[in-house]
Amino acid sequence: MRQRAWSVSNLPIIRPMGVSSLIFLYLPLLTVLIFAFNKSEDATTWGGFSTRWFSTILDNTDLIRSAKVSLSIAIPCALIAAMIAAGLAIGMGRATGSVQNVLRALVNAPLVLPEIVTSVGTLAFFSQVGIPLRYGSLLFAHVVMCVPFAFLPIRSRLRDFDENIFEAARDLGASSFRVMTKISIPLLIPALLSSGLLSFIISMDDFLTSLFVSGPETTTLPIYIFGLLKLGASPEVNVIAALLLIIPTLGLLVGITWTATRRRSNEARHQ
Amino acid sequence: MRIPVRSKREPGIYGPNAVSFPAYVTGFFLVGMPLVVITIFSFLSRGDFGSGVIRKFTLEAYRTVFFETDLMGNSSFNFTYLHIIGRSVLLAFTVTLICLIVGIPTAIWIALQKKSTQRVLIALVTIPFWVNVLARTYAWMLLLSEGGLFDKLGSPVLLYTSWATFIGLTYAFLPFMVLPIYASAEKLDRSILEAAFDLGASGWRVLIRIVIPMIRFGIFAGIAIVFIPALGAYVQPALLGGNKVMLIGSLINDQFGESRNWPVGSALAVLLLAMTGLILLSTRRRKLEFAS
Repeated sequence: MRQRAWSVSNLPIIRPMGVSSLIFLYLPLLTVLIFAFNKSEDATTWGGFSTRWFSTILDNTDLIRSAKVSLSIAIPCALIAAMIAAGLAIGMGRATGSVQNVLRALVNAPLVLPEIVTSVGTLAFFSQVGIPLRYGSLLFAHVVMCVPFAFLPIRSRLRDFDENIFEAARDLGASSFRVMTKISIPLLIPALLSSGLLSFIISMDDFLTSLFVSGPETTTLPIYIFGLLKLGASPEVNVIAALLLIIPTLGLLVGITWTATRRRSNEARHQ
Repeated sequence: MRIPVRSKREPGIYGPNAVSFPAYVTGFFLVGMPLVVITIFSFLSRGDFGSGVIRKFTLEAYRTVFFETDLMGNSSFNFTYLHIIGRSVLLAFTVTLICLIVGIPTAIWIALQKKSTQRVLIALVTIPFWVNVLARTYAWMLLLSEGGLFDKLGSPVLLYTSWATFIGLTYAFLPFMVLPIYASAEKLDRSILEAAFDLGASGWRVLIRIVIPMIRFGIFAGIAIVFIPALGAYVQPALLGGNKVMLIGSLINDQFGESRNWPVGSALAVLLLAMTGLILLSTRRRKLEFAS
């Protein structure tokens, strides 16, 4: 009897399409990386290897100032969003009330709504209530955008654990507050770190919400860079774009390797 | 004898209910209220000094979007805004379609690799998604500009055309399409595919009759999360399209910025919100069918 060995290549167009989409995803990123080391004054013509444009961006005070503004928003935003999201995941338990469902849908809405709608809405709301567009308003606009993302790793981590652990603690007389401080929060620490990292990246990257909700003193890095990009390609922007590419990628790779090592050591422990 | 058991549904299993309060407060005030406020704004009159609104109820904003009045006072359909909305829908539709055509095979390809290879490939698809959208858009400015790589290879200069916007959006949203489809393709049972092959089905037949129906929920999710942001896109049309061709995202932006007509901007945002709701409902219903 004829036996056909089955493999992925039996399915048509799967492999060529997969390979080409990886090329499609990485060709632009590689171009940016390479051209950051371009010696030429012309941003798009290769003129030999050089790191000279990297030093010019350190002298760009506007860039440094906007980077500081972005960091001063992203760091507290990451902390607050992770805390609010953890509170949501812990406090909602497995509850299913209709009022809570509506509120939870609102909390999660920034995941699915077009950002242009939420950002003009936030601007209209702030103007109507009379909240000035300063640091605090921008920070909280970022926080609500990050909470639904920060919620995801925390929720999935809580679901990973056997509910009986929590039930047992309650049955043995622990208050729900004690369950939270002694069990839930310690278990959630790795998830809180990923939530914080996610929120940090989202806040650092955000452009549209910041565009509408920032005031004159809160020009964030993406707003400054958008202004530069409107002028077209330049060697300086090549370097800035390359840094925007390298920094989160390195952070992500560290995160992925860390979880992979943890997973491996966990698997080893179980054997 | 019945033993009283604490209901699994009881909240507070992980901690006190009250700790979810901050999330509900921020969700109510900073997500819910803004949506309410723009809906109200869309029914108010334009402020005297440019920005803001006057608290006087009117349907003027919606009338401006749909109709125009000539000097004689006759109303007729105004196609300017409708054209912009139609063009945005068409662009978002095309981007979603291309993302589907590229994303479905890519996701299946990844899902049929060894577990360790899958992890690497998924990380590779996820990384561009985490790179700043401005940096990713800039990469295409570099490739498509005059003197850029594509120009040197003999392609026409596409920067500041709708083609560039289209490429930039497809590039930005391809990972959004691949990830949910992968999530359902990962659960594919290979033995079913093998059985179909052994019974003589061709590769295309297996793909269309077996694989795609099995991953359809991932496909629906992918359609929703690509179409919605593509419809309201602002960055790519502004930087790659050079804002030459007006789309709904830039139109709303203008109404809150240069043109300073907040009621019209709000009305457009409400329309965009309504379209989003429709897309979510039409992709959500299929999920319920799956659950039952």
